[in-house]
Amino acid sequence: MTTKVGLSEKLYRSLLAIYPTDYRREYGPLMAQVFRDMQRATHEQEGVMGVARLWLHTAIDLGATAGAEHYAEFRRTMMGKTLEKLEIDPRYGAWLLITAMIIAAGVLTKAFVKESGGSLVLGASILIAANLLAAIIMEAAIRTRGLILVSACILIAGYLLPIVWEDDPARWLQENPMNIWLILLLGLWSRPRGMWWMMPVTAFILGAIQVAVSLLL
Amino acid sequence: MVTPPTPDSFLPLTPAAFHILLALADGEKHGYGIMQEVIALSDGQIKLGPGTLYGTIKRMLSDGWIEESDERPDPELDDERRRYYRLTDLGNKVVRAEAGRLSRLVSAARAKRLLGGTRAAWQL
Repeated sequence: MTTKVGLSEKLYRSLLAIYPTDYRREYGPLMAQVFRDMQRATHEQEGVMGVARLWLHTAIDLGATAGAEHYAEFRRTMMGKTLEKLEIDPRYGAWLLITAMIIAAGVLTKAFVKESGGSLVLGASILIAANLLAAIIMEAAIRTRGLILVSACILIAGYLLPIVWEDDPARWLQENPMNIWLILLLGLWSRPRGMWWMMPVTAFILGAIQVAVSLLL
Repeated sequence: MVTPPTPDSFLPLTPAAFHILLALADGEKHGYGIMQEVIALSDGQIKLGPGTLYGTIKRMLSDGWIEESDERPDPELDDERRRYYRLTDLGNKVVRAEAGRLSRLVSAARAKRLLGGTRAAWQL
């Protein structure tokens, strides 16, 4: 068990790499020390299952706080400071970067994975990116009818593009029914909030229209 | 001339920040000690992860609410040196201001008979 505890600590130390460099240098050793203390006490009181629960809690803590620290770093960059000077929420810059990364990941997967999995990832990434873009526009300080219309078009395009991308969309849909449900679920998860046509039922309606149009082609 | 921020300008505090300041209210502690105190204060309801703990400590150091004390071993744990933290004057004022705000909320809840097992006014 001592070996497993030591391996667990080593794993935690290696996961600290997801934090920004400066933060990791300053607080990494302290975080590892606290984790060691927590693990030791948990193992004494609750055994292996307790340590497993500790890891679940710690993994969530790692992901959430590493993201927060990276965002804090982003706000100190040139882009973050420029957005703040322009009185634009720096989150938009972060979201745009994430959107671009999602689309790039989808395109790369499609390029290298020829099977339907590549199409699914590309379709899902376009959908998520479309929802993120629509969310950015909807939460912008200035809301005009034109902007709302643009965000609606982006959403709809996000649902249609994965199908249009395929050479034979009807056949793709028939051969990959699970893909439809996964894309719909991803659309639900990444929906922006606010307008009625952003609500979950709308995602299903759009998905149903998407499927119907594709099957009728 | 820049006006220094007042304690009230920082309110409301996040739960993590308030619990850490509360843990330090009766003396300096190291990270794990803060974590244990928070668990005790919240009856086990709040368990800070290392990321949340030190992310909040970093911001509180930056805001001047706490300061580093020194590094020394904790005789109750092991021989490893640990970094201790303590409240500053500003941190003391901030945690008192937050405690006052929460106290006023509790008083309002009592006035509406939401505490103490009595039924709320609208249920009568």
